[in-house]
Amino acid sequence: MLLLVFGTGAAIGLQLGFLHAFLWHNIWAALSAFLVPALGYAAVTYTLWRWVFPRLRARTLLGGITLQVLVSLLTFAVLSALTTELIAALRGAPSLFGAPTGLGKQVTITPEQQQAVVRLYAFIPIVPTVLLALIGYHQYWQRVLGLRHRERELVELAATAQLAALRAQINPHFLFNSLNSIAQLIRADPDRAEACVERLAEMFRYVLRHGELDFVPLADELEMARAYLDIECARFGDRLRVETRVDPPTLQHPIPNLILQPLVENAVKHGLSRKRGGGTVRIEAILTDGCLELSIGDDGLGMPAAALERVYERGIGLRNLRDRLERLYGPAHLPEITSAPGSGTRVRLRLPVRPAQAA
Amino acid sequence: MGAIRTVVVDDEKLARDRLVGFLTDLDDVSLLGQAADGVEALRLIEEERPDLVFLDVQMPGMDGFEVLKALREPPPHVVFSTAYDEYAIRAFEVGAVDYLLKPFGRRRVEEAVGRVRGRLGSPTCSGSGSTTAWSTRTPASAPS
Repeated sequence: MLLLVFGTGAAIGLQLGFLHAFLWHNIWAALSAFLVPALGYAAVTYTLWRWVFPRLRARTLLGGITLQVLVSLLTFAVLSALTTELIAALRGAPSLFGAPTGLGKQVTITPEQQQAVVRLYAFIPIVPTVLLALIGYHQYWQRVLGLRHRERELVELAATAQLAALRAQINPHFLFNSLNSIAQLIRADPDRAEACVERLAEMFRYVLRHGELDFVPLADELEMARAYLDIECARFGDRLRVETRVDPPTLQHPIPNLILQPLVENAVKHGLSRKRGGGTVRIEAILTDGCLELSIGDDGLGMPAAALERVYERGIGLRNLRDRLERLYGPAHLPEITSAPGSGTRVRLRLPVRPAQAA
Repeated sequence: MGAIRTVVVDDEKLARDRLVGFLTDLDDVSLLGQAADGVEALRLIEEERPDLVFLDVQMPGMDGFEVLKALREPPPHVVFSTAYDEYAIRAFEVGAVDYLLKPFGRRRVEEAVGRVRGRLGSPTCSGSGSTTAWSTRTPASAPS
């Protein structure tokens, strides 16, 4: 910034300095002709930049630049006129508006000097052009840097949000209800209490161990869902039944972690827990056309079409799952949800062997 | 004052067992029955007209609030018992005596019964101050 300001002043000063040197062969005049405008212009430019431009308000970038150019032009024009008039008043030099004055002195200019002056003047328009270009460039970079900063912020924000979402994977109500069951089992059935505590610990370890981007064999996901279901079975007793039908070749198929348990939990929580007499959760996994077809169903309450349409708005877990699958496999592999009141809900996922981004 | 006639409503057997276990240890509480869902609860409460109901919120059929709304006047004293803290304000709006957050221990249940004892004792019953019984009982009870 400062370089720009003083560079501009120096460029203008240099031109005037050279003019003096060429025309009058006077090194002191040339030096002062260099220094005075160099410092003067620099000071004014700096003032404009620092205190005037930031106070100008415009709706668009183009409007802002136009305003800045107009303000600069006006300032420098007034300044030049004032300087000229000041010199005129002090030294009797020609004034802008008064009657012509001067010594009427004849000056001999060699053709070479004349040409040099013309050459020098040819460069004068470069000064404001360069100045404006530099201002524009500076603003552009400010903007780019600002955007980059914002982008980094967003990425960090997303990472935190994902972490929070992951932490929320184990829903607090499930935890508190489980602890209440375990507290009772400690007196009624200590062995079962111990088993439940172990299962709960497995779930927590699993959630904390795997990051959002991890892929795990289906077998691990099934184990996690199993741990969850064991605890829920202790709570709900014979109201909760589980059927699992898994093709052995699917067990090693890599899938994004933490997708099965949330779906099973939805089936239990929304499908079965509020249905009188409870029901069955069905987990099925088969391989078809190189895809793992995973289906989680229940014969619980189900939901009407209107609720099914808004299903992603209501459940953060489900929405997260859909977004993850879309990112990993593309829009062709979103969850397929079917549901009807009274006949339960089924979620079907088709997961390719390799995620799209790894292909 | 006679025994506090009590009903326990929760869809989870272990949660019912837990409450029942604590309540049977209290001399002045007589347990009339248990219900595992809202519909059953409504029938049981209408039949027995208890003084006190321990009521779960989320249940099959009808939730705790729906049960309360469907009851004939005068309703029994209600202590909610749930893992969800977000219903607390609503619970006190409908006149709940207490709100037990799962998991809870013996002391907390006795505190809730003490509150009911206070309400049952002061306006209607004469004689022995029930609050005294409650305050002597609380420090003696084993934490669980």
